[in-house]
Amino acid sequence: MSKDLNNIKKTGFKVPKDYFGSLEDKISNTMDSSSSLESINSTGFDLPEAYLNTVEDAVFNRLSQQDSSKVFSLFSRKNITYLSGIAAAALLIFGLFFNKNNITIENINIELVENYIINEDLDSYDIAALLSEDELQEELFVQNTIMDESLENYILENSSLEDLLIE
Amino acid sequence: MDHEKELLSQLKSPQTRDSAFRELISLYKERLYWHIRKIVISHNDSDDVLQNTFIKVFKNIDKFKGDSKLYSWMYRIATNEAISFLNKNAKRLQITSEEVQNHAVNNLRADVHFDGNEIQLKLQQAIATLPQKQQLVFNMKYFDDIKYREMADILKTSEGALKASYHIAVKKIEQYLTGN
Repeated sequence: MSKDLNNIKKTGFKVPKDYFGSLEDKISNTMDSSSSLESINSTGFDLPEAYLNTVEDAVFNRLSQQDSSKVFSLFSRKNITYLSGIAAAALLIFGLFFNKNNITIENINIELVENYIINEDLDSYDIAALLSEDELQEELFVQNTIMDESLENYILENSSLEDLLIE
Repeated sequence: MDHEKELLSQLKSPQTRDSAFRELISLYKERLYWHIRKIVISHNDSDDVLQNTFIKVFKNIDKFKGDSKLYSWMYRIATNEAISFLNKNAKRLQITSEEVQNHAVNNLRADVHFDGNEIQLKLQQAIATLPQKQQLVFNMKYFDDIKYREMADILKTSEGALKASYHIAVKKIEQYLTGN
């Protein structure tokens, strides 16, 4: 083989098979998936078919609904002012009403209380449950000092000799 | 502009109000829908917010003084409605509104109303990392190509501040896209 430069016509480089045949596709694919902002010209958002034709009717429907049934916010500042005014007035009326009757323990009819206890069928346990413990402390009894004289009188008046003998 | 004036006077007159309002919805529903959709992400939420926006427009049309364009005024209402929707949801779920948005973006892969490819999904994720104001500016400029002058009118900010916000947003997004 001659070493003459004129005889070397090829570089010896090789390319993969079909490289040039697929080059156009390859370049356009790379461009599609390139990360440059310029390659993106739409958001990719889609919307239901014919959606835009329904907007007018949807808005008018909602407007007519709002006209026929106006919704008031229950907790607006204005409403709270009104409601608290009404509540205060109601309290005042009830207060006056009860004060007029002036119900106290003293002026309750005893018969009424008796009837209540009978009708409610209260037994001794129910009544005992209403008494708080501190009302029945020993000290209360101790404080009620009984004079010897009154004790003598009580025994003389209320007990017989037989009773004392039995005990 | 003349048409807008005519529509406004029709909206303020009881006889023509309903038909004018229907026309107003037809004119702006698509633009407002896409604007809202980019903020709240899901279609159903966007539908709710869009209806709320038009109801608010209808109820407050008498208060519209004409200082700005009707279109800018409606865009402003839509923006406020969308942001307060995010805030309400955040309060209900006891998380931040950014977390609500991130959650919505992360659900996109399973959303039947999203047919974007991986890179579009990545862009949404990138946008969700921006502060709310930069998100708005980026979406309005990049996708809707709204002029800075109009944007300033809608968002009540100076053009200079908006330009700066947009450039910062683009930089951050490019960084996110190439970094992730």
